[in-house]
Amino acid sequence: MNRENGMMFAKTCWQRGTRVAALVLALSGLSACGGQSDNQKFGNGGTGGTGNGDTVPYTTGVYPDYKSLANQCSSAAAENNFLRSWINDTYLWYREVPDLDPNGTADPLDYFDLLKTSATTTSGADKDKFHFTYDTDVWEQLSQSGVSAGYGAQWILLSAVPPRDVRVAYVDPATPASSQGIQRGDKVIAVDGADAINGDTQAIVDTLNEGLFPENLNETHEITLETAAGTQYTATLVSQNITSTPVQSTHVVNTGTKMVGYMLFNDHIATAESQLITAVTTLRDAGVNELVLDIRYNGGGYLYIASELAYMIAGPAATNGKTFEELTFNDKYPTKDPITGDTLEPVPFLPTDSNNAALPTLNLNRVFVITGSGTCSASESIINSLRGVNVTVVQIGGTTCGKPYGFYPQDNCGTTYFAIQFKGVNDAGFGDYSDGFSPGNTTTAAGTSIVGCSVVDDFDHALGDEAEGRYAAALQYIATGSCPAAPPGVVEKLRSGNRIVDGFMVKSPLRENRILGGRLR
Amino acid sequence: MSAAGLLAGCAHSQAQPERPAVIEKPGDAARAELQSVVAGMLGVNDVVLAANALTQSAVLFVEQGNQRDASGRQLDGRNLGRPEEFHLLRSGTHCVLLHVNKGTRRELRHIQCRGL
Repeated sequence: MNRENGMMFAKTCWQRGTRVAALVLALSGLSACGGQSDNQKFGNGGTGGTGNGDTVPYTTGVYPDYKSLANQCSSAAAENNFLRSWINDTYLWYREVPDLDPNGTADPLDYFDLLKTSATTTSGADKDKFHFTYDTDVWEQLSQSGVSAGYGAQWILLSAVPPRDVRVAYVDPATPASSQGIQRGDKVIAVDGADAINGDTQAIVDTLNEGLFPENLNETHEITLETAAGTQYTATLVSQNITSTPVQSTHVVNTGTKMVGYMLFNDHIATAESQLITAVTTLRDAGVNELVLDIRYNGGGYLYIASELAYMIAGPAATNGKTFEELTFNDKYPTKDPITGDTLEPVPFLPTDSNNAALPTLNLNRVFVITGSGTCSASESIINSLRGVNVTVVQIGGTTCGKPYGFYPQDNCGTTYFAIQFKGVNDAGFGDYSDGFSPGNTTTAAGTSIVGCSVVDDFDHALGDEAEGRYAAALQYIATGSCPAAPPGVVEKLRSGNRIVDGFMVKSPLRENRILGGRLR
Repeated sequence: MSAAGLLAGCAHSQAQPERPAVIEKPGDAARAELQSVVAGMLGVNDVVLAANALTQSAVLFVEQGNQRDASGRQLDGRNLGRPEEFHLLRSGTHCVLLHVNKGTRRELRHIQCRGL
């Protein structure tokens, strides 16, 4: 289950010895398993029992090889036993995990939730914000790069509870949403007749989630939206397999003294590689000497894509022989990757693409990055790696998500577990940005402060529009060396009460509820 | 396709000059065959493909676990792997799908393609 943002998604429980997956509603706190899965008992003797069959031998502080315990699915205790040893062997902060009797918890998912550090960062946030599970059959689904069911409109939830504020962050080209004229900033008013702003019954919440996030193809839903000018319209949308475009916008602005390149990069998926190469080639040929890289909605993906882009920005002179990112695992594995067994080698700045063709370069010693809470993982690696080779990164927007970590998803008995196993550090040895990167003039953020301007997301303008708030701030900084005087806004936390200051992006048809009730929370 | 047919097809294909290709006249049958062949080459039961897969480009990428968290971020946001890559080739009069990662090939019997 994924409990980020207080949401629970798929819940697995034991019923007559069989695991049954069911959706649960975060707002109601109900689960298909009643209270059974939360019935936890702990002890040191291994006699607590899970209520569903066999127990396993348990000795405090003794951890059998997890590989020998894998896929023993006859009981919760057996699965817990695997998790206990796997976490102890590979979890980055295994020393901070309590040693819990695998016989004491009836649901492996609940047991897994307990197998993490309880430490907090300097901001008071959980040190480990990325500990979750997924049904293996869902996780292992294969799809064409960038293809998923939907309309091609990317919703962003500025407030997921009443009075809700659901906006369009951007629209992929050649999709049902684009053909209906839906544009960034449009506000969702109603879905299939359900009030999207104030509706607060379970039925309305269900209707909103089903309409905005269709799970199947050929679903037809009517969505009423309001433009920035206050005009309301209703779009009839039919869900399709949508092919996203990870690099949507590239252009050059001649300021008179500078040639400023702009590039909107939304996803580190496979198809991004060729699009990034095309974009950088365009910018190089135009002779840009400044770059604004818009990654405010880029949550990461393939690390090799990030390394290639960082190389294309900085060029060979700055990166030759330098480390893009070095992965460090726990102290049981100082020299070897615990999963692959490979000797640990720094990830270099990649000078060639997947076909070994030389990459185009901009050879810049400064780059502007537009960021927000959706800027995560591999996107943060771009920022950190460039800073590690003395490329000045000027940050415009909001604090990034703070995920210098990664993992190898681990399957066991039909569930795929995600537990942090490694941290990435740059050429200068820095990787401690678990509270994110924050623009230098942010007043209350706890993230790693780097030079830049805090600017709220501007839904009144298209991405790449020179008048869009964050892009305009970058252009101003390039022209004057300073941030906009007013109103810069303070964009620091993902949430402030029930109001999500910087919004969060919902990109694909997840199998869980995102729109929340108010009274029902 | 039988093993003998596959071998014969490959032997024939390899004797012909090859070039990247795209699917012509994609219909339900062509899409079904492509989906079946790609899934078979990956050893899975199903794979989600766009309706216009390989109609505008000779390259097809397939990824695993394109799942997002509650914030819409990639669950595996620092993915150390690589995608599965397929190339559609026109080999003589045949259309052949190459799985680049494994170097395996399959002839597409019911798909029309044209070289680029």
